[in-house]
This record gives sequence, C-alpha cells and structure tokens, in this order.
Amino acid sequence: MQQIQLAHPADFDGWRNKARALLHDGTPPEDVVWLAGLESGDLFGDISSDTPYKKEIPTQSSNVSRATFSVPHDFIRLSQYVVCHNEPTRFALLYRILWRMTHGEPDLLKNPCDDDVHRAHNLRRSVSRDRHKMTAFVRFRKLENQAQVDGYERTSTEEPEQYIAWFEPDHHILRLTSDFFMKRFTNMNWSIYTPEDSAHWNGERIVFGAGGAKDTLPDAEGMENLWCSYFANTFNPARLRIDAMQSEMPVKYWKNLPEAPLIAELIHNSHVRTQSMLNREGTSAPKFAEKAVDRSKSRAPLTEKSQATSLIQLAKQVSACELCEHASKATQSVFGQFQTVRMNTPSSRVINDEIGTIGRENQQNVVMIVGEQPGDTEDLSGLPFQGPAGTLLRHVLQETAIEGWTLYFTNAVKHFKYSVKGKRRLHARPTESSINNCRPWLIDEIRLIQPQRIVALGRSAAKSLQGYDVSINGKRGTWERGPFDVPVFITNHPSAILRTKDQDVRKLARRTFEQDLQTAFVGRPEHKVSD
Amino acid sequence: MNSIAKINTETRPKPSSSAPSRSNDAGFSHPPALPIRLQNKLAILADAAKYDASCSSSGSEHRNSLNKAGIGSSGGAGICHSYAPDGRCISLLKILLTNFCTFDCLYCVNRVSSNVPRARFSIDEVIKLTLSFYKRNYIEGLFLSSGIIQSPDYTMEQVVEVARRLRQQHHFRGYIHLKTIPEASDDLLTEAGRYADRLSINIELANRKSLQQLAPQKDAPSIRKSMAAIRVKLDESRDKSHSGAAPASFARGGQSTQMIVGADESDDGELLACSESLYGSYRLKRVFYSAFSPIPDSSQQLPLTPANLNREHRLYQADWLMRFYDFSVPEIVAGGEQGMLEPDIDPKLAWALKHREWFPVDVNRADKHQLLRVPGLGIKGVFRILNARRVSPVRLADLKKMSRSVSRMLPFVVTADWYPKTSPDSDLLKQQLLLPSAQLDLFS
Repeated sequence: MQQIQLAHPADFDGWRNKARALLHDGTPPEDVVWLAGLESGDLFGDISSDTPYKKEIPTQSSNVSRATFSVPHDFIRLSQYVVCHNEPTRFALLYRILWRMTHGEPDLLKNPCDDDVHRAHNLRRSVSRDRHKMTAFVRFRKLENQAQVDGYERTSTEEPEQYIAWFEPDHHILRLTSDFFMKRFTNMNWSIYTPEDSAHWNGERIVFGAGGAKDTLPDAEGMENLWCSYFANTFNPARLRIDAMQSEMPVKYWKNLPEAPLIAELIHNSHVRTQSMLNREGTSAPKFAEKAVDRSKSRAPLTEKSQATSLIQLAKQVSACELCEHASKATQSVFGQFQTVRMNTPSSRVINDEIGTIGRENQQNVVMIVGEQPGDTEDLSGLPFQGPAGTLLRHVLQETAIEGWTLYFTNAVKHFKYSVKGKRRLHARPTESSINNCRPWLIDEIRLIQPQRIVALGRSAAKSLQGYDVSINGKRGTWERGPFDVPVFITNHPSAILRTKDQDVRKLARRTFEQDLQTAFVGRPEHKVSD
Repeated sequence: MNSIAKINTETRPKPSSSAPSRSNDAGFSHPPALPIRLQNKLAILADAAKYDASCSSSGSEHRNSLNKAGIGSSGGAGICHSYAPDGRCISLLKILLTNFCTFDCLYCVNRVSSNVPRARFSIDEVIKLTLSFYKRNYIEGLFLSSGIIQSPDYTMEQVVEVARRLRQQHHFRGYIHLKTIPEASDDLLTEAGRYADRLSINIELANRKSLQQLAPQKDAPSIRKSMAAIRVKLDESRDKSHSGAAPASFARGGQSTQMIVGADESDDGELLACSESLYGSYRLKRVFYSAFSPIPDSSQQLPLTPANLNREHRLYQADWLMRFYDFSVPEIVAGGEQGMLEPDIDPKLAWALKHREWFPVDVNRADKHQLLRVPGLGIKGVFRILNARRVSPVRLADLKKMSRSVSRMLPFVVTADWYPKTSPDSDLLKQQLLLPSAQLDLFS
C-alpha cells in the first residue's frame, strides 16, 4: 500500500506527477492512498511559493518518468476541476479513471453512464458551480485610508488601489478561480481571503497564503450604500419570485453579500406596494407634459389617401400601406430607384446608383425595370435589386448597350413576403391578392415617371403590368401593351437563371436573357398599338 | 441612523418606515454617509430602468486586462452578481441616463404624462458609478438606456458618449449594453456598435395597431428599420472575405429586443409569430418577454393588472422550443387553445399530449429530432443519450444518470428495460403528470 502526500487540497500538478509515476510503475488504484494537504495537517507547505502569473502552466518536473501514455484533453480539464472538490476520495477516483483508460478502456470518458465517469462529472459540476458563484458573489471593499470622502475613486493612478474580499466557498477553488480575478482586476491590488487560504495580487504576481477570518475585511465603505440603493430600486415588487432568487443565490451566500440584509424587508413590503399601485387611480398628466409632447411632434401624420403628385409622396403612401398581411412582418416597403448609366471607358459601363428617387420625376428616356418583390437583402437595405438576382441583372445590363437610357428599378410587390426556416428567411411567392393590392402603386409610378418602355422580369411583374396572368414561356421576348400604352417587354426573372442547376442549361438561359435585354433596350417596340 | 435612502418613486411619499434599512445583524458596521443627491438619482433612475427584462452579459468576445491599462474582462457565459427578490438576475448596472421623456407610451412609467420624480445623471456620474461598482465586483458592466429628450440624435449622442469614454478614456473591458433609439442617425448607430457589446431596440408590442394606440409617438416601421440596420452592420463586421483584413468590430454580443406581454389583446400565437419573424429577419440573440407589470403611476387610459408571470414563463419556454428544439410556431401554439399556450403545463408537454401517436420514443433507436420532442428531455440530455447508447443499450438507471427529470419522461419513452403502461387518455395522463409526487408509482 502506497501513501501519496500532496502539497495542498487542490494540488492538481502534484497529483498528476504522482499519478504518472504510479502508472509507470504499474501500481493499481487499490494499492494507493491519497492524502492532500488538509488531511495531512500540513496545510500550507507552500506558503512561500509565489508563482509569477506568466508561468501559470507548470512545466513537467524532471523527476517524472517519461511514461508513454496519453489521455484525452477532456480528462485533464475534468481533473483540474475534480481535484478542487472537498470529497476525500477525489484523487483516488481520478487515478482509477486514469488507470482504466490506460488499461483497455481508452474511450471510458465517452460513456456518461459509467459509475466513475458519472461520479467525476458530478464532482466537476459542483466545483464548476462553486467557482461560478465565487466569480459572482465575491465583494471587494476598498481599503479605508484610500477611499475618498465622497466615495468616488480617484481617476489618476499614482498608486494602485487596494481591495480586499472575504469569501466562503464550498470547495477548494481559490486557486482555480484566482485566474479570473487576475485577468479582470489586473491593475488593482487585491486580496481574497477564505477560511482555508488566501490569494494576493500585486499587479505582477499572485501569492497564495494562509486563510483568514471575516474580520480581515476593512469596514464597510460608502459605495456599498449606493449598491444597496441600486439593489432595492432595481427590484420590482409587483413580480415577487422568491424561489427563483434563492435557487440562483442560495441563502448560504447571503452572509457575505452587503445587499442581502435588504431582502427580508423588500419581500415584506412588496405586497402592500403592489396593491397600492393597483388600487391607485390613474393620474392625469403634469403641467409640463403637453408642452413637451408638442415640441416632439415633428412627425407628419401618415397617410393621405389622395393620388400622389410626386414620387416622394407616393413612396410615403406605399410605406404606410398595410393591405397585405405580410406587410407588418417586413422591415420596410421597397420603393423604386433611378439609376443612370455612364461610360467609364469606351467599353465599360457603370451603373451609377447615386441618383436616388426624390424629385426625379422629370427624367427623360427612362426604361422601367419591374421585378417581382424585394428579397432578404432588399428588405434590410430598402433598395431594389440588391440581392443575388439583382447582382446578376446589373452584370448583364453592364454588357448591354444601355447608354442613353436612365434606369428605374422597381418591383410589382413592395413588401418582402417570407417564411422563417431556422434562422433564415425564405422567399415566398407573392399571392394574387398581394399583386393586386400593390398594382395601384406600380401604375402610379408609371403615371409619374412616364417611362419610354418597361421591362417586365418574370410572371408576377408581367401579371401586374398586364392586369391578367401571363405565361412567360409563351410571351417571353415579346412586346405587350402596358398601362398608359407604354410598351412592355416580357422576359424571365434573373432568379430563374440562378435557380437552374444544370450548367449548360444555365448558360443558355443567361444568353437568352442577355439577348432579351439587348432587344428591350436597342430594339424597336413592336406592340399592337398604333404608332 | 440607517443611511440607505430608498426613494419612494410611488407618487405619494410614504413615511420612511417603509424604506428598506440596513440592519446590523449581518456583521456590517454602518458605512459612512454619501452625498444624498447621487443616491437619490441612482434610486430614481434604477427604478425607471427596471422594466427592461434583459440583464444578460453573455456572448461577447473574450477580453481581459493582462498586460494592458484599464480594467475588466468579458467573454463566454455571463455572470449574475446578485438576484433581487423578483428572481431577476442583476448582472449589469441597469439605469437610465434620464427618465425625462417626451414620448407618451401609456404602459411606461417614464411617459411624459407620468408624475414620477425625474432625474438626470451627468455622463461623469454614470462612468464613476460603473467603474466603482465594477471594481467591487458588483456588476459585469453597464446597461444604459434613456428617455428621449430634445431629439433622438441628441439623446443617442449622450448615451454613446458614456460608452465612448468608458472604452477610450478608462479602457473599460467589461460589458456594455446600449439601448438604441430608432430614429437616431446611422452614424450614431455605427459608433454605438463600436463601443457596445450589445445593442437593443424594444419592439414593445407585437401588434402594430396596439403600438399605435398605446405608444402614439413610436413608429413600428422605424423600429424594424433600425433592427435591419443593426443586422446589416453585424453581417458586415463578421465578413472577412472582402479584403482579408478583419472589419471594425460591431456589437459582438449581437442585438436583442423586448416585447410587453399582456398590455394589449395580442394572443401568444401572435407574439411568437412576431418573435419568429424577428429572429429570422434580424438575427436577434434574444427576444425578452416582459409581463405588463403594475407601475407606480398609471395612465387613466390603460388600467393596471397584476403581472401575469406564468404567461411570461410559458412564452420563454415556447421561445426555447422554437430556437433549439426544431418546433415551429404553429406546432407550439396548437398545443394550447385558441392561440394561447396551456397555462398549467409546459408547451412541450402540451404538444406531446396532443400528439400521442409520436410516443413512446425508444431512446435507443430514435434520432435526435425525435428525442428533442420528449417532454423532460433537454438538449444536453439528448446528447448524453446519443453518446451513451454507442457504448451499451440505455436502461432506466442509465437515464437517471443523464437527466434529472426522468419521472416526467417515463410515459413517453422506451428503454431497454422500460415500456410505459400509460393510459391512452391524454386528459387522464395530464392529470397524473400534474400531481407532483408519486409519479414513478403511477406509471410502473
């Protein structure tokens, strides 16, 4: 029977080194007795050892045999937590798991139902919770002689401020948790005392020392008053849930929380406070209210039902339209947008998008391009033809002889309709009624802009412009008579090209689309209207 | 004497005996008095901010102060530093910059027509409070909001300035959550996102007409537009593909919103459908549901009712089902009656009772999607089962090691040594499940 003495109750490095050696010697778990600092009575063998934080991860000591076995990283993480538990058998449990993993059960940790693994995970969970609660419930007090009369900290940093805390954890977690405080309060000097040990940080290194008592703490300081005031006022007496509070902040922690003494009275008064709120009559507004509201009333009333006389007016009417149910789930209506074309070099065209919409009714030579409805990207940005299909359309347009024309992009339906799948919005085809609801807006755009010609992309656009259902296969590449006798050229929607999976078919579809646009811009409208 | 001055924000001041006081029996000595002015302001402006449910401090980038000037760290799970008796976590210093407000939202205690005491912090005061609280480990950071004063842009500027100074002058690396103001300019939004871990705008009410009625100055479309703007900026800040260089960081903890429950007639189905569209459209991290709660000064036009905490709780459960358990909104809502969730049982159980044909599910054979539908079985439990059954068939004793709510599962699962002999009558089964004790006996 071997007796192994560890330096302190949460001595992970010590345990690891010894375990390696034992494993190398082939010592089975039942032949080992583990004693940690607490059990041996030699509590702080390492009081003087101070570790600079830069060497947090200890290097392998030279006296350890170079045994050739490896364990999963998960086991190391698990052990670092389990050694902190106050359960006396923790070291033996870890060594038994290690032994089993290196003796025919390499995948032991993957079985959550194994008794040893289950036990170890339970210990880890308790330690993890204890550690988390320590990061939450440690309360620092500033050393009195440094606190200023008004309770504020000084902002300059001639010398680091000194803070002290007292905490009573369930397990041996001070070392495990001190890392958190070091990284957060790096530029403060702080000490945390527990009954068992203490940690001291001076901005450069951390030193562990003997435990303390509650009276190690300096006297309460003014800031605690403010904190208690905050605690009392952030509490809503109308939604008392004591069980929820206690399950997350168990009573055992209350003795060291400056705000806890308030709890009893807050609970006691909550019922009366709530009742008095409920019983009180509604009040009338104070005198200043009317003035203040007046001052903030800059927003114009929303809808005027009369026919719009400008695009900006029309855009406002469209944005207030709620005829379709899906309108309220869209971010915004997407109105049309003018874009001009200029030649960058003799061979490359740039579609300039800085022209906007407002006050642009009098553009000459406008070709209106009508799509189906805004998609995800358009809904977010408020501009038409921004997504994948819009990008494709713009690419094709740049290859088309469109100079001399001003482009006006818009859609048959103005609000994005979608269904949610997971965290994505999937485009939903506009219904007959949506197209009909939006049709007056499109007609008004045509009335105000008076385009020379219109390109209808896809079935919904054609349907809206013609007023009846149109088969794209039948009518693609032809001119039709549109509203106010404006010639309408019908072609595919670019998204139809994007949806085509077969590469060859897709290329063909794109070529057809290019030719169609060429016809639309360069060709002569041949619809059945007297010239 | 006791120096904790609880400011009574209920309209008529009460005798000071109702003020919470510090007793000596906890072993604290009486602390020195502080300037009462600051304490009063804190009381008023914390009270005014408490109707915002969110206090989350999780999900942001990992930061710490090693080898750097300044203070603070963040990253990973948030930390709740305290809990008030309302069961809500206190993680952040949640205050308003001012509770003066030119809006007249009937449900809000800070509406212009309310008679509550008003106060306004200076920017320095907020910064000093935040740092002082942070250094004592009271908080994870700051959640700053404000009543709308002067103009949306002016208000937003003030809020952003607090965050800017905390980050740039004090190198504060704790968590900052800023409430953004829908009508504020795009530049201010970008700046807010540069300093804040989280941005939020409250949708307030799922139904647009209700919002128009109860909050006449709020504009539902501009709320959604702001959320869209934040989402676009979030997407841009995560998109490295453009030049290879990492873009400027923007609200690493994402955006969230809050919906008031029970101030209008909207049913649960409507609220959940609204949430679904918000999650899908704007990549929200969370939608918070806040039961309409009595306030110290109510409007004559909106009578107060006791807060329906149970409804709020069921909505949170449904929200979780929607986000993590592959449930669709119609499925969840169909578990209840007439658009409302079942009040007595959780929505997953409610769904299961109406879909008995799905059960029992064999934990040794079922796929992940089927396991996620089992009442009482959570995501972690499902993954444990999937792991464990690779090693050996799962038995009832194994199940107890992997989940803490096995008794609730029993009527719905099959294990290597268990087959439920439950009544096919769903109503009877529901009654049995509602009995808290002796559940194991009932089904064996």
